[in-house]
Amino acid sequence: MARSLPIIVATSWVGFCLVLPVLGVLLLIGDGLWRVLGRGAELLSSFFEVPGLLSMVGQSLGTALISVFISFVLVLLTLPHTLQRSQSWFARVLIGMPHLVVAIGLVWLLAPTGWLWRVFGATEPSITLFEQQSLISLWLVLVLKEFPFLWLVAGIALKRLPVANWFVQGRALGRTDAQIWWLVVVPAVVRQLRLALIIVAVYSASVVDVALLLGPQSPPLFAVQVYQWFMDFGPQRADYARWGSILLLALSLLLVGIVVLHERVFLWLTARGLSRSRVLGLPPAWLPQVMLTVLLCLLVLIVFQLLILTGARGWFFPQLWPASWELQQVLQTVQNLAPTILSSFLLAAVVSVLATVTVVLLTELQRHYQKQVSLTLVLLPLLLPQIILLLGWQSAYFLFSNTPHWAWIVLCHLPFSIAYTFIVYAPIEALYPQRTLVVAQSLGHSYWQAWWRLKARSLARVIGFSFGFAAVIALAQYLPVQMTAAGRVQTLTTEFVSLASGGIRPEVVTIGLVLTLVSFIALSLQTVKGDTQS
Amino acid sequence: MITKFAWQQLAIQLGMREYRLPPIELTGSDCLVLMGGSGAGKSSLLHWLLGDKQTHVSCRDEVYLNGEPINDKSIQARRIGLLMQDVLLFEHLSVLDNLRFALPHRWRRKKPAEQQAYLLERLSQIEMAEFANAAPAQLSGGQAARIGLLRALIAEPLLMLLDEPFAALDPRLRSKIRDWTFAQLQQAEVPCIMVTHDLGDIPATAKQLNLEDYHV
Repeated sequence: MARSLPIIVATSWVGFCLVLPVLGVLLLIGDGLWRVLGRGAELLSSFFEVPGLLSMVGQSLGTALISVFISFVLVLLTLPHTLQRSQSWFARVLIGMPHLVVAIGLVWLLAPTGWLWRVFGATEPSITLFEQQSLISLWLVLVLKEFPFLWLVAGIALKRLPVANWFVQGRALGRTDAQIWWLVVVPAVVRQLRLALIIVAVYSASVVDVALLLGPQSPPLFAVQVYQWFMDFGPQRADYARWGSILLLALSLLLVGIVVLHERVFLWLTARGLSRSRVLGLPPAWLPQVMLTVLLCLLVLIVFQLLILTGARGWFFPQLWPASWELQQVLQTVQNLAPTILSSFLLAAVVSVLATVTVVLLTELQRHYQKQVSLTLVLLPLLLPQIILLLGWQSAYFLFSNTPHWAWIVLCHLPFSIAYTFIVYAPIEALYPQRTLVVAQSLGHSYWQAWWRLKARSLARVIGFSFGFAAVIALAQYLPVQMTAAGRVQTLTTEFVSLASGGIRPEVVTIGLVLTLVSFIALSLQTVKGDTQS
Repeated sequence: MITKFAWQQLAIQLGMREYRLPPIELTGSDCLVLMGGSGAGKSSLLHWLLGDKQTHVSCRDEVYLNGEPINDKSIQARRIGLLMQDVLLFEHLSVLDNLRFALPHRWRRKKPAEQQAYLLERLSQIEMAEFANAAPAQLSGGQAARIGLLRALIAEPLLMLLDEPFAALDPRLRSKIRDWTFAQLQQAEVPCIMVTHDLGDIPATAKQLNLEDYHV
C-alpha cells in the first residue's frame, strides 16, 4: 500500500485537474436546461430576438475562419524542411510576447495618426485599415498570436516524423523534392495540426480580452456580448449569458466540423496530386527565416515605440518624437503597480509549478499504466470557449462560498496552463528512449530515482520551457481572474485591459511593458541547462 | 531491358576507413551481398550507391548503370530502389496511395481510374488486393514488407538495394518473406545489392563481398 501511495496520489491529482473542466461544462448545461424546464420556451425566444444577434455571431464565425485560414496558409508557406534551433527560439519569443501588448502596440504603430506614418513623413492622418475597434485590426492581432503557435506545433510534428528518410525513400521512388514535400510531408503535418487548428479556431471565435480592446463594439463580437451580459447583474441578462454561452458552444462545435472538413478537403486534394506529376514548387528555404525575422522586427519596433510612449509628454501628431519627457510618472506607475506585479508573479509561479508537475506526472502515469489519456480530455479547456468553463466553475464556486479565494483562482487557471504545457512537453517527452529507465532500474535504482537522475536531466530544457510557457499562459489570462476574483484580485493583465479600454496612455503602456518583461523572465527559464540537448 | 550494373574499381572512403573494392558486375537478377563487421560502412556504401549525399563518404571512381556513369546523378535520376529494415510506408496514406506515389512518369499522365486498375492488379498479383484501402498501421510486419517491396518495384528500378530488409521480421515469417522477395526480384529481372548480418538470408547463388578483405 505504502509503495503504491505516490501513484494513487498522483493519479488522484491528475484526475482532479482533468475532471474539473468537464464538471464545469456539465454544471452550466444542466443549469441552463433546468431554467428552461422551469420557465418554458418563452425565455429562449426572447434570447433569439436580441437585436444584432445574427451579426454578432457572424462576426465571430468570420473572425475565427479568417484568422485560422491566414495563419494556416502562412504556416504552410514558411514551415522549414528542418527546424533550426534559431527558428524555434524565434517562435518562442513570438509566443512569449503578451498578445494584449502586441495589440495595443500595433494599433499605435499602424493607426491613422500612428508612429509608422510619422516615420514616413505624413502630415495629415492617413486613411488606414488599422484602427482601434475594427475587425481588420482584430484579425491582424489574432494572426500574429496564432501563427507562431501553429508554426511551433507544426515544427514539433515535423520533428517527430521521419522526414529525412521519407525524402530518401521518395527520391528512390523517382519523385522530386517538391512532390515529396507537398504529397507526403505536408499532409502528415496537417493531420497532426488538427487539434491545434481547432484550438485556434475556438479561441478566435470566443476571444474576449483582445476583442474588448480592438474589436468592433457596435455590435461587438458575440463572446464579448456574452461577457457583457454576464457582467450585468439583471436576472434576464444572466439568462441571456447562459443561453449565449450555449450558443457559443454550438458555434465552437460548428468550427470543429469546419476544421475537420477543411483537413479532409486538403488531404483529398493532395491525394489527387499523387496521380499527377506537377505540384507546387518547394517553398524557398530562406522564407521561414525571413518571415520570422520580419515578425521579430515588428515586435522590436512595437516595444521600442511603447518604451518611448511611457515617458512621453505632449506627443501630438505629426511629431516624430515627443515634445518633452517625464520619467517620474513611469517610476510612480511602477511603484503603484508593485502589489499587482507581486500578485501576478505569485499567481503565475504557483500555476506554472502545478501545471508542469501535473503534465510531467500525467506523461509518467501514462507510461506506468501503459495507457494513453485521451488527448481531447487534456485539451478540453482549449477546445471549449473559455467563458463557458468559467461560467460553469462560477456556478460551482457559489455553491461553497461567496468570497473569492486564491485557491479557486489558481484552480481556474490550471486547466488552461496544463493543456498548453502538455502541447509543448508531451511530443518531446515521447521521443525519450524509455528503455534507459528500464536499464537503470535493472541496475538497482527505483523508477523515480532513475527518472530524476536520467530523464529529468535529459529533458531539463523542455521542462524549463514548459514551466515558463505555463507561467506566460497564466500571466496572460484575463477572464479567469476577472470572473472568479470579482475585482478583488488584480493582475497585470486585468489592470492592463481595464485601463487600455479607455485609450492608450503612458500608464497603460508602462503596465504593458512590465507585463512583457515579467513574461520574458518566465520564458527565459528554458535556458536551464540539461546534461543533453533536448 | 536487362540491367547491367558495374564498377571497374572502387576506391572509397567510408568515414575513417578506406577500401579498394574489386571489379563488380551485376546483370539480370544477380545478387551481391555486402558483408563486414559492425561499423565497416556497409550501409554507408549502400546509401552512397543510392545517391544519398553523405559528408563522411568520398569516392573518385565511377559506378555505371547500363553503361552510364551515375556518380553525379540525383537519387531520382538513378532509378535505384531501396528497401530497408523499416519499410517506411507513408503512414497517413492508404496502401493504394503509397503505391500510387511510386508510379513512374508515364503512368502519372494516365487517368486516376487507369492507375487504380493497374495498382489493384499488381496488388492482386501478391494476393493483397483486399488491403488496397487499408492504412499501413493495419498491416502486419510481413504484409508491410510485401507492400514495401511492391512499392519499390512499381517505380521500375534498374537496381534494388536491400539494407537488412528482413531483420525486423520474426523468424517464422522471415524465410517466407525472404524467398518471396528474391522470387519477385528474379521475376522482374532486377539485380540487387544486400546488406545483412544473417548468413541465412543470403541466396545460394549470390556473390559475396566482405568489405574487411579490402580495407586499405
